[in-house]
Amino acid sequence: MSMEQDDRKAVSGIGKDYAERFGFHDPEEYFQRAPRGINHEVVEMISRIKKEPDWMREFRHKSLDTFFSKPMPAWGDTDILGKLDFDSIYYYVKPTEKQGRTWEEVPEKIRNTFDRLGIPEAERKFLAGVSAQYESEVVYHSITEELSRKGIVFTDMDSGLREYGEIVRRHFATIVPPYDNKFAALNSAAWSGGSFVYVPPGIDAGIPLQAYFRINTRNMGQFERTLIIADKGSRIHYIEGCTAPIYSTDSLHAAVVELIAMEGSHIRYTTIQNWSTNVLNLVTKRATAHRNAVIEWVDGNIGSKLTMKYPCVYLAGEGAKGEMLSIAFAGDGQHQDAGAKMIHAAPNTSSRITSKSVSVRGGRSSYRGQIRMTPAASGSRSSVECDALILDPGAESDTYPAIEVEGDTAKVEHEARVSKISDEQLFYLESRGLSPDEAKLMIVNGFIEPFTRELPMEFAVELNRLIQLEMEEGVG
Amino acid sequence: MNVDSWLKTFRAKALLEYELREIPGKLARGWRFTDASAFVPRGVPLDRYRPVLTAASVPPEAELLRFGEVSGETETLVRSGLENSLGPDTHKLELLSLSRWQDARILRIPAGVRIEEPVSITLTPGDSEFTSTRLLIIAGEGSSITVFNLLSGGPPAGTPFLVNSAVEILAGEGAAVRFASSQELAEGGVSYLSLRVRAASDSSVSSAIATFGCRQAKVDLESFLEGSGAHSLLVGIAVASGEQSHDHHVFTLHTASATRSDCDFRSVVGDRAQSTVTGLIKIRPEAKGCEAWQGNRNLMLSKEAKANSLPELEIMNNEVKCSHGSATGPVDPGQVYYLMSRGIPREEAARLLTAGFVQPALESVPAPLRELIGARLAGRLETATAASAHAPLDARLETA
Repeated sequence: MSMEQDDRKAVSGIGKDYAERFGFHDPEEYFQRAPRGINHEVVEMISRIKKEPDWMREFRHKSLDTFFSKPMPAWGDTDILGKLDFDSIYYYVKPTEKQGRTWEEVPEKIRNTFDRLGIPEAERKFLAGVSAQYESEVVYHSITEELSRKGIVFTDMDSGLREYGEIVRRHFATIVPPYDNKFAALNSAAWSGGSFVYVPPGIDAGIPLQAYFRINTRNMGQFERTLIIADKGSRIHYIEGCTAPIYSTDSLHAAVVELIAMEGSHIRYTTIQNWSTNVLNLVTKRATAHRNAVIEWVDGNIGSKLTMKYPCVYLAGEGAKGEMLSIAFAGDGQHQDAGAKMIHAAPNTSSRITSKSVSVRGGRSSYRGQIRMTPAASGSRSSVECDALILDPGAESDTYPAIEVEGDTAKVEHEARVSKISDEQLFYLESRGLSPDEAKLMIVNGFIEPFTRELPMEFAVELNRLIQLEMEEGVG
Repeated sequence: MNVDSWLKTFRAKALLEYELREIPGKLARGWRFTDASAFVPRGVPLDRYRPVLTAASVPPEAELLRFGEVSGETETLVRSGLENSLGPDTHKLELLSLSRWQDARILRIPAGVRIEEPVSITLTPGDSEFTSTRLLIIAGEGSSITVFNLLSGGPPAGTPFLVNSAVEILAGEGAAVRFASSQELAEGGVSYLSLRVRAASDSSVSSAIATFGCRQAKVDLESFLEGSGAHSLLVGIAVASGEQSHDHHVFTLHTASATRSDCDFRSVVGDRAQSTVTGLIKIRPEAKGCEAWQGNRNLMLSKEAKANSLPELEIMNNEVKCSHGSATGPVDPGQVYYLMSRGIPREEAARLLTAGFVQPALESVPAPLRELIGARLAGRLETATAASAHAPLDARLETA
C-alpha cells in the first residue's frame, strides 16, 4: 500500500497546470477539434470531460508515462504491430459523433451478414455504428430491475467510478496493472466505457449479464475497461460482444478486463469477438480466483485483422479452479493469436484449457499459452488440449505453449494436434448424400461443438450460421 | 586455392563475424531459460590444433580425416557445407565453433558401404579450460553406419571449463545413420553441444542424445528433412541432479514432401536441478504429406526441482499430420506403495519407477547403441534417485 501511496504522491503534480499552459478550459471544445494521437493533454481532457476524481486523473497520467516507456511486444505478429501508428488514432470520441455514419456507408458484406444472421433492425444499426446507442430500454427493463432487486451492481465503468468510487478505487488495476504491457498502459491512460459489475455475497445472478442490457450507454469502445467483482459464494455469467460483426472504423481496440472471484464464487465470462477485419484487437484479460473460487473464460475469436489475447487466471487460493474454452477462426488476411495462461500459486488448484482453431483461405491461427506451477502449488493439476484444423493449402496454424513446473507434486499435461479434415470423414458424409461443402461445414461445426455447447442458445445458433457464412466464402 | 589456405581464410571470416555477433538474448528461440553468455569464453581463444579426439575405432571401409586432409568430392562437400553454415543467421556459439575449433574431423562412409559394428569416437577436454570440436559425418548414397560419440572427463573438480562441440550429419540419398552421443563431462563444466542433421531423399537418421554431465549444459538439436521420404528419429534422455541445469532445444524443419519426424524426449529432474526442453516443428508449404510427432516428459524427483517444457508447432500447409504432447509430474506414489507392498524397499521402488519412466525412449534407440546408452543411464539414475530427498516422497505416501 505504501508503495502505491508513494507512486500517487510522485504523480500528483502531473497535469495540474494544463489549463494555464494550453488555455483549454472547455474539454468539449477541445475534443471538437478532434486531435489525433495521445499525450498528457488528451489524457487530461478525457479525465476532465468525465469529471473524474483526482486519483483516476493521476492514474491516467502515470499510465501514459508507462505507455511511452514500454517497448512494443517483440513477439506475436510483429509485422502487423510494427505498422501500428499510435499518432493516427483518435483516443476519445464523443458519443454523439458516432451517429454521423449512415446505413449506406456500412460495407455491403457486413449488411449481408446481418441479413443472414437475422439480427433485429435496432441492433443492426447499433452494431454498424449508425446509432450510438442500442435502444434497449423497453426490452430489457424488467431484467435490470430484477438485477438491482438482488443488489447486483451492473453499470458502465464511467458511472461505476462516479457512483461506487470506493469499491472501484480499491480494485481498479489491481489485477492488470498499467505496467503489465504497452497496451494495458495505453488502456489505463485512455479508457472509456466497459462494464462495472459487483455481485454481493451469496447472490446468484441467475440470468447471464450482457452489455446489451445496460441502458443508453456506450458499451463498445476502443479502450473498454471492465471490472467484475464476485463477492463470497456468489455466481455470475457475463457476456461480452456478440456473434454479429461489429463494424468499426477504428483501427485499434485495446481493452482491459479484470475479474475478481472471492472465496467460493463463480464467474463465467463469455466473449465472442467479431470485429470487422480492419481492427487490431489487443486485449488484456485477467482474473484472480481466491479459495475454492471458479473462473471460466469462454472465448471465441472470429473477426479482426489481428487478435492478440491470452486470458489469464491467477489461482491464488487453495482449491481454486480455472478453465478456458476457446475457438478461433482465421480467414483471409486474418491472424488469430490467442490462448490462455494459468498461474497456479496455491495448493490443490486445478486448470484446464481447451483450444480449437480453424484456419482457412490463407488465414493464420496461433495458440499461445502458459501454465505455471509455482512451489506453492502442491498437489495442483493442469491439462491443456489444442486442436487445429487447416482447411486449405495456404492457411497456417501455430502452437506455442510454455509449461513451467517447480516441485514434485504438481502435474501438467499438454496435447496438441494439427491436421486437415480427414478424407475418410468427407467420403463417409458424401456417401450419405451430402455435398462436399455441406460435409465440410458439418465437420467444422462438430469440431467446435465443445465450444458452442457452452453458449446460450441464441448465441450458439448465430455462431453456427456465422461459421457457415465464413465457410461459404471459402468455397466461392 | 588448396584446402589449408581456403580454411584459413574461411575461419578468419568466421572469427570476424563471431566478434561482431551479439550473444542471443532471452527472446531468441531456445534461450528463454538459459543465459547464453555462460557459453561464450572470455576473450578470443587461440586458434591452435589440439587433439581432443582421444580414441576412435574406425573400420577400414570408412575414413576419419582432418578437415585439412580432404580432397575431391569430399572437399567440395566440406567447402560448400562450411560456406552455407556461415550466414547472417548463424548464431554466436556456432561462429565460435567455426572460427575456433581445435580438433575437427570428418567421418566418411562411401556410397553403398554398410558398416554394422558401431564406430566409436571419444572426445575429452583434458585439463583445458576451453575446448572446441567439430565432427562431420558424411554418409554416402545408400550407405549405412552406426556411430557412438562419447564426451567425457575434464579438469579435476572445482576447475571451471567450457566445451563447444558440434556434430553434423549429412545423410545421402537412401542412407541409414544411427547416431548416439553421451555427454558425461565433469561436474564443473559448462557445455554447448549442437547436432545438425541434413537428411536427403529416403534417408533415415536416428539420433539418441544422452545428457548427464556438466553444471550447465545447452544442447541444440536440429533436423532438416530436405529430401522426400526422409525420416528422422530423435531420442533424448537427460538426468539432472544437484545444481545442474540442462537446456535442450529441438528444431525440426520439413521442407520436402512425405517426410517424417519423431521425437521422444524424457528428463529426470532431482535435487535443485532444472531441465528445459523447447521444441519447434516447422512444416513449410511445399512439404506435403508430412507426419511429425514430438513428445516431452519430465519426471520430478524433488521439491526444488524445476522443469520447463515448450513444444511448439508452425504448420504452413494442410496435408499434414502433426501432434505433440508434454507431461510433467512426480513418481506416482500409488505405484511406489504397490511395489513396497510387494516387499521392495522404497528407494529401490523409486529407482525402478524412474528407470521405467525412461525405458520407452531407450527402447526406440537402435540395438547396439541402446546397450551403450542404457549402461551409462543405469549408473546415472542410481546417483540421481539416491541423491534426491526422500522426505517429500514419504509425505506423499502418507496421503496416497
